[in-house]
Amino acid sequence: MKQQLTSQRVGEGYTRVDHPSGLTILLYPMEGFASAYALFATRYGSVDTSFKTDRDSDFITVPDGIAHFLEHKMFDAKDGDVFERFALTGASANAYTSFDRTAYLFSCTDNFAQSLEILLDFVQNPHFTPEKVLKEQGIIGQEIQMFDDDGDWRVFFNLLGALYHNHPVAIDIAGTIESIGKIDADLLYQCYNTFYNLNNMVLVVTGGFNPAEAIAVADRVLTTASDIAIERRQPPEPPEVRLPRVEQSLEVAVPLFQIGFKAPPAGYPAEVGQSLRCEMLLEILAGEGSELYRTLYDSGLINASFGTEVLAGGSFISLILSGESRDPDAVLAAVKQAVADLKSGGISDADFELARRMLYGRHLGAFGSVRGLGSLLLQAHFSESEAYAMLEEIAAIQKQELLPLIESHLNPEHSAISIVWPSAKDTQP
Amino acid sequence: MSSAPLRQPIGEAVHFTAITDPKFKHNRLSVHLTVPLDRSTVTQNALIPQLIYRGFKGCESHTQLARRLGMLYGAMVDVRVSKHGCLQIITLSIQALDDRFALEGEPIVEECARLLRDMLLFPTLGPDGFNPEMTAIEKHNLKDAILAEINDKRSYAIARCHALMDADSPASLRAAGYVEDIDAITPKAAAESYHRLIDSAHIEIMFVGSGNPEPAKACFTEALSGLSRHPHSYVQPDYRRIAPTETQVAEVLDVSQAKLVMGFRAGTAREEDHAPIRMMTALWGGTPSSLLFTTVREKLSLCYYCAARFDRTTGIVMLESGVSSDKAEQAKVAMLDQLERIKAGDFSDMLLENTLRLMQNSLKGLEDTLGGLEGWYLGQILSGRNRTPAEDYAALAAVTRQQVEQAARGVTLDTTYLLKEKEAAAQ
Repeated sequence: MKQQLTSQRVGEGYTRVDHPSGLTILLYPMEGFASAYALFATRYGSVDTSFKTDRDSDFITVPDGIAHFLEHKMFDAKDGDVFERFALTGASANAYTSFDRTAYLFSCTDNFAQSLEILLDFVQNPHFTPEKVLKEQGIIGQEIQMFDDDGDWRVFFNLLGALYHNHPVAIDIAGTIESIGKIDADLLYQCYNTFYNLNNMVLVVTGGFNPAEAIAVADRVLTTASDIAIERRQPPEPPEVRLPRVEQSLEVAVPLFQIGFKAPPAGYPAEVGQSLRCEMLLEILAGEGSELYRTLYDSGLINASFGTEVLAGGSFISLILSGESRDPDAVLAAVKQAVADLKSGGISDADFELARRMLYGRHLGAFGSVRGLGSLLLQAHFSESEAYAMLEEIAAIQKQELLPLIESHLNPEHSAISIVWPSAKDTQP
Repeated sequence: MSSAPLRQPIGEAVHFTAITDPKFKHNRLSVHLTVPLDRSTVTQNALIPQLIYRGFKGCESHTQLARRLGMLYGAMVDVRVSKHGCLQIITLSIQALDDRFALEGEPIVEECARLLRDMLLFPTLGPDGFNPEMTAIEKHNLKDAILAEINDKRSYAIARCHALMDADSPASLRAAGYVEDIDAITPKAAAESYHRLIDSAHIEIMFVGSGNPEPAKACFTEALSGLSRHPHSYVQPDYRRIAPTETQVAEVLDVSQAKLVMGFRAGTAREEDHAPIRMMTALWGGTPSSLLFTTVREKLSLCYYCAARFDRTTGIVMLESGVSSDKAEQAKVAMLDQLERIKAGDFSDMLLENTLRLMQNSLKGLEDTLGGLEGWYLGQILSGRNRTPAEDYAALAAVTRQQVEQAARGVTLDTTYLLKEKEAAAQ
């Protein structure tokens, strides 16, 4: 079944196909672009550590980091390395695993159909052996170690560890050297057979390509999957934070900090609208045009690295402010004061309009980038929304809709700070 | 593919280049000021964009600027310093949605051009130079930015290796400047640096996007055509071609994964030799099907990553990898073995074809982003060339396997730099 979606505002349209194989396909050709970008993704990420299907009798719990491990292993196919197959078409291929999804992707300027065929084929054909698993444990162990040195990564995961008691969002996406040691080929197949069902997946293509060619490849290569119902189980998570403060020392020049507000998750699709409104709220509270930003910057407490983000995934949502500062505690105090001021003083019309225009510009801007649009379509689909609908929602947001979120989503009682301090400078050889 | 854009003079050593394509939804306007890299001015120059960004005619404070940009649908201003060979480049850019998406019909291009012009030419200056408090903050931030280099161990190790190789050349100077030079910069000295920069820099103004470049061109022509300036004269100096002996340096930092970097001299400075060297470097370690990736990483599991890159402006081929110290020597031997294989012609035609295809893919893809197009043509201008990505691809496609082998034979190892873990050093 095919559905055509159009937007007057953007002046474009795209096609959604519910393919007989069970796969949802989103095709957004962009005139004039040389490169095509394809994402073949499953709604399966690092937080999906406990699950059952309608074919299983009970929930199983798998080792942390297994979604990411599986992603790595998919490239080691039965008939050789997948990169070598892509090398023949000139496509540049990659993959990533996040909290709630795993995506395999390529971009190319020629041989689109051959590249798409490779993508759909290799992701449908896993080949896990004990020897290969053992070798991968070494490679991923190195990757985990590399991130142990990464101040930005550590300050982020330390914050999540402070915010969440039980939710697996607090666990490093790659797992730990210990947890990946428990992974074996059978577990990989079990996760694969659960989440890599085409009914749980999506194919997104953007840029310069021919949609008919894409559908022809899908018809030829996709093997029909019988529908599957997946139940995911997350341990109960209280609204309170686990720790208000967490600190670590690393080889960094200036202390890094992240301040997080833990908020009540709304589940998809409601969380899409909430998270857009939270983005506006953060812009009003701490954007570069805000009083808080000016005060912090002019007193030398923050530098240009300061920024905000909404981390949302259906079963979790947190509002995060991060940056570098010699006095992170002073920043925290100022942020809490600004939240109190916002609560008592409300939002001015000028601040609201500024935030609305910024969000509108940012969102519309994604339609001008082959990769940006691919990511946006994927994000919208997995959060049970749609990219044009999100844009229209932004254009229609009203100020009074933001006010209750100050109370519920910027609650200082449910906040935490993570700091990475520079380690002592005894580093001479 | 498009043809090379026309670069027009609009003032003394000032040029305007427009690259337009209706497929984009944004426009990007940049001013690039280029001056010779020099240890005595590099740090002051690096501070200038930060200072002028913080206060200028019409936007006396950063808050005012941020709010003006916000109302232009989140237009983004980006100021930065970089280098190209022995040149330091100070860049001010603004990127915004095209006029056709304005909710209330505002002329976004024109407003952006005025804003960038005022930032460049009318910063807020008192009788004693820049605002003292703001100067203090930006000095502090520059210091942090330089120190933050060690946060990124990969680029830190590469920069260290280059500094060891070319200690006496301006090309190895850090574009962002030096911590020890910051304290001495007064608000007045910074203002003098600013005036010197405006007086002596070569100025490249570039417009890339879907909109009409004319309002931007008119705005800068009016502002710059009548200025009497003293642009520097400059010739890109020659670089070293051959390493007489290998230097080995090891340093220790608190990291859990060591970095092994090897700097090679490419053996030639001739422009026409660049295509074979680039093909050779890509085949060695520039793609996921390269010898380094498939053999040293995948088959031998000696490193987490290893890659090779050729810098045309310095004539250096740099190999970088993340390893554990106890495997560093083994990894080094394996990486050098791959070079021997190329010299001996021990690689398939298919690998050569695959490498070329991947390079074509990235060259064509450049034309799909504003930043990609701007970076490409700025690089062409600064190197005195005017090639399109398609013409560049044609030069790469003409390289024979014999030329690749020959390029590998011309490469000599100059410096091996190992950044070790603390625990490994203690053993």
